[in-house]
Amino acid sequence: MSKLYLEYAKELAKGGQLMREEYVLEVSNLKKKYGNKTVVKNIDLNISKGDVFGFLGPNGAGKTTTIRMILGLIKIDGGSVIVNGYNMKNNFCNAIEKIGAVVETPRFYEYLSAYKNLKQIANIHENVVDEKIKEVLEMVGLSKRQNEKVKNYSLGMKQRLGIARALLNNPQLVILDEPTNGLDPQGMKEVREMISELATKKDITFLISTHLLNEVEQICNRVAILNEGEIVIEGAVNDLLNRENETIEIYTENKDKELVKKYIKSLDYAECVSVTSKGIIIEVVKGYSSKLNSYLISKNVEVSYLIPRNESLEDYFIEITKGGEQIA
Amino acid sequence: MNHWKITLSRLLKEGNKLLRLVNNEISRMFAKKKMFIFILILLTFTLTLSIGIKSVQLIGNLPPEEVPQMTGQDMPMALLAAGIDFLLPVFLIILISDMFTEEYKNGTLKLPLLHPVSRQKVFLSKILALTIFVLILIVFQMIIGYLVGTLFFEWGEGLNFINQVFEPTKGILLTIQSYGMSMLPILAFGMLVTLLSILINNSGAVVGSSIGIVFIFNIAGQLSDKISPYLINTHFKWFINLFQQGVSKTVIFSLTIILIYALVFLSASLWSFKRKDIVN
Repeated sequence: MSKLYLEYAKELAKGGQLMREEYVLEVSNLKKKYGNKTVVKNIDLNISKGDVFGFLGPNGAGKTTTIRMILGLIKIDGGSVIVNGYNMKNNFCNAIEKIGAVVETPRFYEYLSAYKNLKQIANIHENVVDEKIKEVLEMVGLSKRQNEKVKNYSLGMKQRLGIARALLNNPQLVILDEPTNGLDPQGMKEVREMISELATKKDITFLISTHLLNEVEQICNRVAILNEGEIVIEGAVNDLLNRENETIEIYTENKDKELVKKYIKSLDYAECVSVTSKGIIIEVVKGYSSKLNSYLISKNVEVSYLIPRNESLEDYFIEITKGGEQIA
Repeated sequence: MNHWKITLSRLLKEGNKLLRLVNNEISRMFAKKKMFIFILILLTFTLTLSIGIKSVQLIGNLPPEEVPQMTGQDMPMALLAAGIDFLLPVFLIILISDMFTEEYKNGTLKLPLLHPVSRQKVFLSKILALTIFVLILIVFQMIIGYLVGTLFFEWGEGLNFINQVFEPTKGILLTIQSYGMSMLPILAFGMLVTLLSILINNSGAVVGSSIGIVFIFNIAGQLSDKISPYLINTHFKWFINLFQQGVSKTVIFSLTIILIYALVFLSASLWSFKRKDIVN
């Protein structure tokens, strides 16, 4: 994890709890039907100020449909969306005033330059001046190419320009739909770092839809997992990952793995999960792995390596949905 | 008093926002260069008509009474009579499908909708921009008519149109009136095309079906005298009424039909636009 992410996590730890009560976005009982098929089923989301909220789910789970409903691009068949206390249905202009958004692949007037694209949006707002356009272009590192037509931009540059456009109106909440989709690893890293930096330095709340679990682990403090139009679970990323047990794999030269299994079975803080070609995978109460190591050595079990296996949201997702094979 | 001040300042603010949206539409359309192509086509059309008439005058071997007469003052009206029910509707169809269907397809229609501006205002800004585009094309056609006409022929002594001669001031006034009047049925037809461009998500299909409607209306109008008065294309040349005596009833009827088309399709288009799911 980069230094930036660590700083960001500390920031969240400091301020997260204090700001918990203030919801920037409240989504209640949101529904969407296409014909007889319900694609979004009673979704509830509460996003607090300062959150970087991951909206995670496999392709086709209903993430983009939900985002489009939140932004008023498609009709909602039930429920409500409240932004900064304003209901999107009755008070659209006030509700959307402090939102910046990129929905799916960012789209632009390709025949215009980056600057002119942003100027088009700045014209809609009363208080967005030319300096602000220059500032956001600088932020995303596109100042030098601002006069180039967008049709000549790479996908990574377009993603960055999309974020710049979303920042033009000094938003409190930025909604990004799959912000790293189609980017190479370097581009992904840049966009994620940019999001983390904006969240900490500019105090912007983010709602980020993604199908990439590691993305949520890296940049989000909260997550809602969506599957087949329903939220399966919602909570703090750390809480979901911070479980009582940890999984470790021991590599051993002992040929009689059954005997090793027997030793482990006698312990009340460890449990054997499975036997692999090189060793045994064990689930052990957090903090007991060194004790386990000493115990096995005392029993003359030759432990070559003891490797902690990182718990990830992926494991969690698979566990709670009994699948998740579409998740990257 | 304060209440009025607040209402007035809110109106000014909203009007200003609308103007900024119209400005956006216009700058985008000019950046795409389509308007320049339309202007070039109008220029070519004017030159072709002028060269054709000049050729007939010079080498037509026609008896003097059959040689077509043309002056700089006649040319704009000749252009209006020749091009109004063909060229301008085609330009209009392309402009509208660009502003609605293409933008929807390219995913740019949603861009202003993600900001504090109502759908109604976005729609209205497009219609106002469209009106300005039609005005630009019409004014250009008139000016280029006078210029090219005078260059190829001579300025002449007055406007000669439908076997009537008008002195220059009256002739120019009638020409401006005619061009102004011809905008109305074109824009009313434009509202019909707007509805199609909102309902259909394929610009090729919008252009095809709109041109198809022009053809069907033309054929239907020719086949049946009963239907003809109720078809919008029948009124494309309603400015002709300016040159005829005692036709106020016809003018009022034409105006009624034009307004009905405009209002019905404008309302239906706005209704559809406000309810359209933007999934691109």
